[in-house]
Amino acid sequence: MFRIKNFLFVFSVFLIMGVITACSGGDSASSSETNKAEGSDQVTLEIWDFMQGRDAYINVIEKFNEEHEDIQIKRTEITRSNFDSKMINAAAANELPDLFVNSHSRFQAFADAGIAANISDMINESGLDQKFFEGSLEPQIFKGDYYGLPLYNNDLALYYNKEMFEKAGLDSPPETWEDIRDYANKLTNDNVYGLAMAGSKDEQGTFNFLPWIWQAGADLDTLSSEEGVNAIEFRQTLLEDGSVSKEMLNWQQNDANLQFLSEQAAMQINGSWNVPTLNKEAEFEWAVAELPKGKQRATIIGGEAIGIGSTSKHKEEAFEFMKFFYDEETYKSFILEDGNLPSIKAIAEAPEIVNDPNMKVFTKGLEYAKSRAYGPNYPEISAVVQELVQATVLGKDAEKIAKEAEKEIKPLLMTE
Amino acid sequence: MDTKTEATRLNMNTKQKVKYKKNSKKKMNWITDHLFLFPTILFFLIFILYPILYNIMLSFKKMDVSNFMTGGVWAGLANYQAIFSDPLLYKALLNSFIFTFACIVIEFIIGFALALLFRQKFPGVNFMRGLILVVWMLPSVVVGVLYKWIMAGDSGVLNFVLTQVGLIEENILWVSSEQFALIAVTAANIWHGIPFYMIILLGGLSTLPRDLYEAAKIDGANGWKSFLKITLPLMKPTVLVLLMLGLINSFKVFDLIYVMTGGGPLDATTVIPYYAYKLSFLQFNFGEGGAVSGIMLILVIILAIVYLKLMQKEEAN
Repeated sequence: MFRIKNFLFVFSVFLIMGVITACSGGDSASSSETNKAEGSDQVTLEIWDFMQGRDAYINVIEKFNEEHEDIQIKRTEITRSNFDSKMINAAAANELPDLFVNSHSRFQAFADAGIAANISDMINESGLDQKFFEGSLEPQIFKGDYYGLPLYNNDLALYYNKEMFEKAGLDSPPETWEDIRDYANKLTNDNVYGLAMAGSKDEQGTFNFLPWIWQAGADLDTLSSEEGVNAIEFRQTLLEDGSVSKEMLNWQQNDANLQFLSEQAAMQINGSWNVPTLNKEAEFEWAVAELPKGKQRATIIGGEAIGIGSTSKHKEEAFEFMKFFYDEETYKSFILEDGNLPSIKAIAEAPEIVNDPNMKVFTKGLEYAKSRAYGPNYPEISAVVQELVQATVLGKDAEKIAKEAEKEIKPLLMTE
Repeated sequence: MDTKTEATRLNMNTKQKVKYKKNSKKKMNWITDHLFLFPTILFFLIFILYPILYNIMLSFKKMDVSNFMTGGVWAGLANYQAIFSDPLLYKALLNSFIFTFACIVIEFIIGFALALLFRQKFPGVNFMRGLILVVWMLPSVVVGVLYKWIMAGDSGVLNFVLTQVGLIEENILWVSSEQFALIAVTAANIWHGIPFYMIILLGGLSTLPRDLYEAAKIDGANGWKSFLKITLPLMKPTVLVLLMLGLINSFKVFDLIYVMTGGGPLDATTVIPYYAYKLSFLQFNFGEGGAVSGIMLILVIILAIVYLKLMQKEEAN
């Protein structure tokens, strides 16, 4: 008994010491913060994003830091595939960043989970919302309130290598599904695949899959309909023909673009952000066309949005950055260099965008592009679709996998 | 009389004092002794016991994206029920079993062969031994990326070599087909694990007395026989430790699979640790993820008990 008591004594002494040091640590930290605040009134904001190597975006932050002595922004880059889990972990630990950039498809889920802050008041007060296309604001609205603003939009279209088309005796891009299958076959040889697209097990896999379902005339709640099964089977035929590599299973959009850029794929399905890269680096002639038509035309609208962490202590300052970002001059130079489509009306009329024939195709696509507005359960729904994409590429029975996926997705749509 | 009593009193006093002093010194010693233990205990409590207890608690809660900010709600055994009715659990268990078993057997055989080889003296032996150890120093993530590229279907060097040699006609999709993905990650892990086996076995071999082999030679035993009758029995303690460490090491594989295949295609390479990760951090079902970790904990504890029992037996011998 004595020993135990002694032990407990020693232990508690240490615990107390630990608490004391912890407290004093806290004290010194907070005092230094106040010192700083007294000295220069400076606030440091954290921003998390996955904008690796996106100089146009990074430049905006640097410019903001230069022009603002009182607010400084510190960037942390996280990979896209880890972004959601990082945010959720941070929320659980009460360590959310002040600002974050994520796919707009995540905002309703983040709003529902209480990760993204409700910024309706600040937006309405500033009148910032008037600047945007209404459609591009929607994905960030949850139960009538704003939880973020769209950085930019984009959609998918078909890139094709003009030189390879000429060699194969083709003079125009494919119009229909039959065309694309036929063309892809003709363009495929030992070193070149006819078509490259992303099929990775992440959001990009879903993003590149949904347009096919829509083109066929189905949707996620009618996957097992004739049209839905058709879409899955059609993708499987492309793989069976050998004109699409089964390696697409591991390809993200970047990888697809790399295949196209290195002339290992004659066509690729990809977004507008590749236009500046290809303009700079491609050693061949290429162009962009609308995605081929199935039963109807369809493409998908994507894009990133910026939001404020719900636990941020500096929401006003964070909103300052948003206002800065959407300043017309700043935003225009960002969009033109980044190669995405503007979400601000005033910039959409810029001659650089209107006169670029390739960008024009993407802008036109927005007319019939659909968004992934599937409610707050969308991340889970997307996970099911990703499995479906994998099963498609692996050549599983289309009807069976479509039915299974539909069964899993339906209850997730109901709770909207 | 007075002086005597005085003396006894003094005497008693000093005795008491001495006793008291002794006691307090002992006590101080005891305290200092345990002060040294404190960092270890603190480390154990914060970094081992707390996460384990928290995980166990988590496995009895329903916690997902919608309610994790408020700490989740108690759900009893619901998570465990959900896990046990999920076919993926059994697939992951099977994958884990195949992966672990193949890794241990092949790594052990090749590791042992290499250890026997490098026990000999020949020119360049130290250099080559060092070279093999470099493999062991590579982080799993690097090994994963390396093998992902080597085994890439369209552009991988493995397929190129195999077609050039004439072993295969069409490219094999090592990491993106269901049949081959598990083989691919197992192969990568084996390559990465062999040096560890080799170095431990080499250490064990160097402690074996040379004279036994000389005696065996005089008695007419050939190399194979002295390996079976001398090397193997004497190496038993080393081998036991090694197999147990190898078992736990292969069982808890995560990073390699995360990098190479992400558990896919279609869960073909989902092992138990990856399954727990998938539930917790891809589907954000923290409760069920915790339950899988709980099952994993039980499995590893069973292994640890077996290991301790074996070691006790060895020591008794």
